[in-house]
This record gives sequence, structure tokens and C-alpha cells, in this order.
Amino acid sequence: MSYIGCIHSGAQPPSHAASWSAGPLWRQYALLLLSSDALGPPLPWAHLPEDFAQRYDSAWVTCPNTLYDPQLGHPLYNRYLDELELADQLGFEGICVNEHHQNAYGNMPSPNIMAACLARRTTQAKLAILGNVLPLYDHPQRVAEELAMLDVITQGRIISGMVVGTGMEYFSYNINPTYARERFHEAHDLIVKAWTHEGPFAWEGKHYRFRYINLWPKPYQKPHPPIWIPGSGSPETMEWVAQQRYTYMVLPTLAPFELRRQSAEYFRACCERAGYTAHYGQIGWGIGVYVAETDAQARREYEPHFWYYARNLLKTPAPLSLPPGHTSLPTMLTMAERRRSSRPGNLRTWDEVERGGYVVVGSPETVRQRLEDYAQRVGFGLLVANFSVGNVPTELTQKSMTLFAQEVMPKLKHVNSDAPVAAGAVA
Amino acid sequence: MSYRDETLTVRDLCIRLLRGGSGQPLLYLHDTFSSTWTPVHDGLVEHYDVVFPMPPGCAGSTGFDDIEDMDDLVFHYLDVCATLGLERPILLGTSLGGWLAAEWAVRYPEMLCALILVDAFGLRVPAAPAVDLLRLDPAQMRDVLFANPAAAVAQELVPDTPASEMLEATLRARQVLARFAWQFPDNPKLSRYLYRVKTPTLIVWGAQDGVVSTAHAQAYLRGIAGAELVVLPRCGHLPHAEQPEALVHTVLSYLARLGS
Repeated sequence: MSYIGCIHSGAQPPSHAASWSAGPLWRQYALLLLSSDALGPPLPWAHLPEDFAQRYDSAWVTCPNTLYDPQLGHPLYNRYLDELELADQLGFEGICVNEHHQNAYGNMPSPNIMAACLARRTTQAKLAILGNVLPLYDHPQRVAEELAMLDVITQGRIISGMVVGTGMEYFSYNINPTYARERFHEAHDLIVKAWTHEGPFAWEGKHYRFRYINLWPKPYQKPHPPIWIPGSGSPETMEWVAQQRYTYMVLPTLAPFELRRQSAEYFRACCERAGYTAHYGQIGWGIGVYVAETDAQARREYEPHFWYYARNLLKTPAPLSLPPGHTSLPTMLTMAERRRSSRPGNLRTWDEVERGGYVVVGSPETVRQRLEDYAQRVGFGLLVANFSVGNVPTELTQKSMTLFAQEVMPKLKHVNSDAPVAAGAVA
Repeated sequence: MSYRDETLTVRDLCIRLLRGGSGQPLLYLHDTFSSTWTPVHDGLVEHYDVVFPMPPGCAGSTGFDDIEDMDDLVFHYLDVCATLGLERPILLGTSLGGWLAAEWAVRYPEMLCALILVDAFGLRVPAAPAVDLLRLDPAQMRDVLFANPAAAVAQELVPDTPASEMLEATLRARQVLARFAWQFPDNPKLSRYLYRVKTPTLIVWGAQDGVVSTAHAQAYLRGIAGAELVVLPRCGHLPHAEQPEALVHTVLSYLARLGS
């Protein structure tokens, strides 16, 4: 998908759209998200017992780690890394990693370690770390340091995502969720200042207090690595991202097309309220993608692994995913309602998955047609396509990625070349 | 019984309080499960000026962002007392409010006429850790909160799905619970200072409290010289909901013996 992604630093936000396009630009085909919440978990544990969903109430926080086996984990990690490296060779312009803790959903507690593994095994792709869960850390300068290290090592291939994290992480790290947003914003401010200001300086905040902030190394990119903020639709996150003029990534765990479309539309409205018109490249959009020779073959190869994912890995008791304060009261009220109506657990048939637009699965032509349709209806300029799902074998993932890169990607190049897109202008 | 529903300005916070009766002040310190006038309050107003403030940030009180920890909460209630002119109140605290009352009593024991701890949070008891309430769904929560989880009052205080007009109030109360009692509803250092409580102290506990078991009652009893313990049968974490008459009777007879 040929987008010109406008990477915008946010340190000195341009005051109007004209100066926006003067910022650094780079061509963006599609980001491979082997991970994250677009669909298909980040490095999912592929060896859960058949009766997992019946025997356990959660894939998170309390899911017993007797189910983890390092002997099986070794090939699994390396297989995922192989796939991410293949993405670089196939011409994907970005590779995404992300952070989750104490779960079977994704075995990537440190996305920075995964990015470090990829730093010297890839040459072209941006490494999008989407992102570090800032409120979990009592020393945000560690995040600033690690990202600066990676940025220098890769000569500026790092994209920095910053996230509030799922509710579950607050249980795993014993961080009071009623301070989630405050800590997120303060840690963000500290990290950006550490990247952009001469040190040493002192930081005197509410949650963080340091006499000496003095970053060695400083990031390679100036003023700092681009900041992309993934989210699952919290209005307060979108409003803040719009004000900062960062890129917003619509990356819900598993959600129907319509909800994802609404999120992008809401973000565009936030940008308008902030006094400017969003570019296509300011909106990322994630979805699970699987390509095979024919529609029927694609479904046959993909569907069982989708259900492994949807039925096992998303299993999360509501109290764990919605701790108090993690999102604002209005959002909590909306989410409580949404959760009742469209929980992934409520998905029963492939027909519902298809009709809801939860994933894009089919022949190259089907996938092209649907992604083009979605891109036009949503108005995104960055596609985060996730090729891994559940316990799908690596041969299938690699075949799907290759077909996508060879037969789909080139035909999407013309879609949504970057330009301002006014709210309401997308069908 | 009649009570007044008042709003009090404490510094810049608007605090809602329910108040009834007359006589010696009895400050009733809240849990986060019920914020209404109950038969327990009715039973107490016969003899006391019952003052029942709503916690900052829920049930009609503002100030969630201003009150961050137990110290803030103790100072807040000192300000409430000063604003109302309450002198030497009897402190009755239940659940979270019991913890608050204990934190108050180790700091300013001379201010208090009597201390009544009802199924109080606050102590770290390694052999019988408090339950992590906020990871439980409503059914699991009823199981640990109530001796009889099937009783109507259990369904009423912890419904499976709060009525939509109750949803916001429920979420606000959960935020208050999380702010002070996230994962560990205790202050590991509190037991070290219980010796400072010179106030006459009654400890009341539900025999079937599944949140903080009677081991916590025993720990308070060991720490506070001269304290008395009454364990209520067929009762869980919230005696005011499950055994209101027994709670009133226990409290009134204790205070009568004290001569308050």
C-alpha cells in the first residue's frame, strides 16, 4: 500500500497543515505487525492444551506458567524473529513489536529486546516499538535510554510507540491504575524532554522526581524518534494524540470493522478540534491478514488458528481488563456497554468473523480488494497487517507474507497517498 | 428515622454527608460498597449524633484527585471534624473506613472518645492475606463479601450488572477502593504503631468475612491494649448489611459500658 507516511516528531508541532508536509517524509507500504493488538497476538504461546478454554478462566495474569515450556519457547521465539526478518527482506517498511506481561497471549514482555534482536538482522524496515508501557516503570529514563540506543545502533530506524497498556499489566506490575493516565503523560513528557534537551537537568514531577536526567546516548533521529501511539479507541487517548500531532494507530485487540472505522473517524474529528486536518499518514490501522492461493484455501488454512487465538488467548475476566481508573469514567461506561455487545468471546461462526470485518482472509485479489475498500472507507495511510495468528505454522505465515508482498502490496501503492483528510470526508 | 442529606465545604472539596440524631458525635467512616442510610444508622441515632460523610470522589463528594493516600484521608477527616466542630468523636469505621479509623487512632489517639473497627482493612497478615477484591467479578465478590451470597442484600449491593443509573456510582466507588486498597489493602507498618492507640477500642468482625478473615481481627486485638473483640455469626465482611441488629446491639452495649 503506497502511502507516504508523514512522520512527525511532535516536539515542535507545526501550527498548520502546510508546515506539516514540510516535515520528514518516507514511503510506507505496509507495516508488518507480528504482534500487537491488531489481531494475532504478539508472539502467542502456541502450545496451550486443547481444553484450555474450559479449564482456565484467563490467559493473563493468573494463567499458570506451568503451561510454559522453555524447550518449546526457544524455537517459537526464533521462528517469530525469522518471520520479522523475512518481512524486511520482502520489502515491508516497518516491523512492529510490543509489550505485554505475564500471559499466554504474547510472550514479549520486553519489546526493546525484540527490537534489539532485529536491529542488526534487518537493514531497511523501520522498527516500530508499539510500544513501551510507560506507567509500569518507575524510571522512564530507562525507556528513553533503550530507545536512544536502538536508534543509534540502527542509524535512526526506530519508531517509538508509547502506551498506557492493558488493564492486565496493572495487576501484573502492581501499578495503581487510578494513576495510569497521570503516569503515562508525565513519563512521556520526561522521555521527550530527555531526548531533546541538554543534560543534565532535574525533573520534578508528581510521579517522577530525578535530580539528574542526562541521556547518554541521545537518539540518532532529530529531534527524536517519531512517536506513534497505538490505542484501542479510548477517546481521551485520541484527543491527546491529536493535540500532540502524533500518529494514532487504531489497534484494538479484536474488533469489528465498524468500530475500527469509527475510531479513525473520531481521531480525525479530534484533529479538527485541535485546529488542523489529519493526514492519511497520521492514521495507522491494524488488522489480521492472511493470503493464500484461493479464498477457500485461505480460510481452510487460517480459520482453526484464528479460533485458537479468539477462544484461548483473549480469555480475560472483565475485572482484569478494566481496573478502575485505567480509562476515564465516560470511556469505562462506553466500554462496559461495548463489551457486553461485541466481546470476541461472543464470536461463534466464521460467517460472523467475515461479516463483521474482523480479519481480511482470502486470495491475493480478495485481500487487495478488501484492504483497498477499507483504506478508502477508513482513510488510513498506514496499514498494520498482522500475519500471525494463534498457533498457525510458520510455513503458512511465511507463504502468506510472501504472497502479500508480491501480489497485494504493489497494487495498493496508489491508495491514500498522503494528504490532509478532513473529518467526514471519508465515505 | 429521619436524617439530613447535607453538603459540606471542606477546604475546596464538596463533601456530601448524611447526619441524624443528637448527642455525642459518632463519625461513621465508610466502606466502598454502600453509601446509603441503613438500619444501622437508625439504630445509632437513638443515642448519638451520627455523621456519615461520603468519601472524596464518590457518592456525591468531590475530591478524588486531591486525596491520594491514607495520610491525605486522615487529614481530610480532621478537616471535616474541624469544619463541623465535632469534638472527641466516636470513630466507627467499616472495611476501608476501619483502616482509616485505625490510621487516625495511631496518630491522634487523644482526639477520640472510642474506636470501633468493623471488618477493617489495614493490617498485613502474611498467614491470611486479604483478598484482591478488584480482580473478582460480581459473583466472586459476593462469595467473599457475604456469609450468604444468595441473600437479597448481597445482590443489591453487588449486582451482576449494575442498573445503568447505578453504573457510574459503582465505577466511582471502585476507583476509591482502588486508590487506597489496590492489591494490598493494608499498610505494612500499621501494626508496628498500634501500641499508640490508647483509645477504648471495640473490634467487630463477621465470622465468615472472606475478604479480611478473623485473623485480621485477632491481629488488631493483639496490637491494641485493652481492645475487645466480638465476632458476629452468620456474617461476612459487611455486618451493617448482613447483621445490622447484632452490629447495633454490640456497638451500643459496648459504648454504654464505656459510659459514653
